[in-house]
Amino acid sequence: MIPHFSREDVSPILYYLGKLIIGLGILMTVPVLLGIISQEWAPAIDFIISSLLCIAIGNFLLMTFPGETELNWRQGMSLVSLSWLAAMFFGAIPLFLSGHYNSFLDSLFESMSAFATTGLTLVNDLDHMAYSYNFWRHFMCFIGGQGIILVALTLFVKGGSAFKVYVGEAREEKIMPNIIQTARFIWFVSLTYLVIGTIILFLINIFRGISPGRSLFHAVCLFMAGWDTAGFATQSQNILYYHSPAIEVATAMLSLLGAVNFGVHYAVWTGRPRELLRNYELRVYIVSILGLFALICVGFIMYFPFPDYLSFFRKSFYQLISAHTGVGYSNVTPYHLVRYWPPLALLGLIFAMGLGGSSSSTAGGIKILRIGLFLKGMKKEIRILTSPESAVIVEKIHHIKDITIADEHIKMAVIIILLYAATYIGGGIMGVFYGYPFLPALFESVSATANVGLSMGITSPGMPDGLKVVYIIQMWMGRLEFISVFVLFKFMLSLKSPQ
Amino acid sequence: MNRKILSVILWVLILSQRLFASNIVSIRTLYEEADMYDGRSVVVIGEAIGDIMRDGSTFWVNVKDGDFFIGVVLNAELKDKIRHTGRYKVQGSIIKVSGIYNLHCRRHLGERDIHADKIEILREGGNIEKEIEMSKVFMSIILALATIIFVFYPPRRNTRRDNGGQQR
Repeated sequence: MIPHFSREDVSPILYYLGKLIIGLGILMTVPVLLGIISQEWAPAIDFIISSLLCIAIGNFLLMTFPGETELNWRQGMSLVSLSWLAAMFFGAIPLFLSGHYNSFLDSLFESMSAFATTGLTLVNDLDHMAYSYNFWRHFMCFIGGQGIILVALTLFVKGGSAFKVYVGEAREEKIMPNIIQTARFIWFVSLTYLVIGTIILFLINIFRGISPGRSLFHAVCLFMAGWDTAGFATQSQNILYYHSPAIEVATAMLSLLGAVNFGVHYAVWTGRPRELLRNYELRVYIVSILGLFALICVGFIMYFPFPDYLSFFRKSFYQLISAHTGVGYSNVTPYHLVRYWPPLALLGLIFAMGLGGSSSSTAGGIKILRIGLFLKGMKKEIRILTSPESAVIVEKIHHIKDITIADEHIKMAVIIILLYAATYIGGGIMGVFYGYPFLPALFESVSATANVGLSMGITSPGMPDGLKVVYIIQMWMGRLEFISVFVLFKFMLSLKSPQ
Repeated sequence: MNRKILSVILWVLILSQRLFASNIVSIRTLYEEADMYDGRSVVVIGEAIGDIMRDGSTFWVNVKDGDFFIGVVLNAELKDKIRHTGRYKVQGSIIKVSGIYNLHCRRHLGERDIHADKIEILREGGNIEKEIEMSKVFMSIILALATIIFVFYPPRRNTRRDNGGQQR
């Protein structure tokens, strides 16, 4: 049981929050530099203002709440939840100053969508946006996909506090014995893929006659939003802008890599490629992709709008991969989904979004490992019921190492699955409340909660403010997988109640 | 009076006939009534956006009309007519594209596109000046000063707390 929070808990939380805000301010110097290089003076000033504001407020918190103490679990969890809200707020400031958003709420939505690697957008006139603002949108995806806390771990947080905040950010597995080493490994993998992915995308763009500067810009941004399964793109049409199967293959591969557990990456990188074949989560993932593609195919049997099977495969399989990895890149318009996708095919996409990618990856959603544990739990129960009473039933999986499944594993998996399912449906009902049909409302709700970013057209600058707030909360809770958000709620309530 | 009414009616008829003959449709209409226009000759007007991208011997350019976009396939000769495409600080040329609209193009693996056979530049694009707001410059100076004060001159109260609350 979590003990009551006291006002003594506030000081260390706000102290570390101050450090995180300063870190965000420092990261904003990257778009400042880009603004200077590309002679975007007005955007550069906006980023200087935002960066200085972060550093000033962060320092104010450090001065007001001094003392680098080790965090306990409840403080660590609350810090994580608050950090994401603070990042959303401060990350939104340059976006709002850009003039591309109708309101500060829209900027907050965009900022949370980026940090939570969702990819739903409320931007106006993206095609005329300055490089530095546009880069910031994608850079936020990269920071958020790696994990705001993970970024901080490598910079600020030390000692026993590190693991508590690491877990709070929906990552339960330590790839290496030391959590700081784990954070550094995740950075190492991501930066290596950054170089490889950017070079591939750059070469595709160059080959297509795009100027070197813009090719590099497109490549870096597409990588950051692809690898971190965010789904923002540099142009309004998203991936459709490129009209290029090569770009689609490259971004699909990147998002698949991003949606694989970092533990599997580690195994492969350390000379254990057999993990790819043996890993239980990956096996379930492949079965799920194939099964849901079969569902989409069945959906299109009665109504087939495509001119041939290759066109159908290109559009539908890309959408499926986009949904199942949570990247949210789209090679069709929202209007196309509404008008030409049968309900059964849309359900296939909704299931794919809801299930999400691997645990301890950059993907969102329920996570495949939990689905696998749930299935194993069902199998175990059936075996218990059909075996002699004296029989001892044991279920095992191979996930990085051989694991005997305990009831505790299954219980936690089921709790999280139910929380996600309730949030998906709850958000869908809110969409209906605001006047949208149920299927698009459910689609959008699942997309927001599972941090995917595919849209059937509901998400737009003109949508009701109330629904924007609902989706912001869903993106936040979905990214942090609920628990640390619940701890923060308890913290806030216990501060209000007189004790 | 009657002659005036007749001449107005005549002009309206002539103009509407011209409009009909040119098949000018908004890109939004191409989305909403896609099946009706699929495979037919259409004319759209919009801003050329982003990059002109090579695809074998042809090129792609995206055309924006309000919140709606469409990919246009061009040959090299038509591509050379477009000198400005919309991006930051650049207003793209407003172009009139005539060609065949495909809801799911067989040649381009299911893309929604227009295969252009004629392009007309209605308004040449060009650079746009973006002015720096002086109020933002002042704000950044004030924030820079505030940051320096916080970093180098922390409030006294905190100094006391750092020393276990004891006053010197």
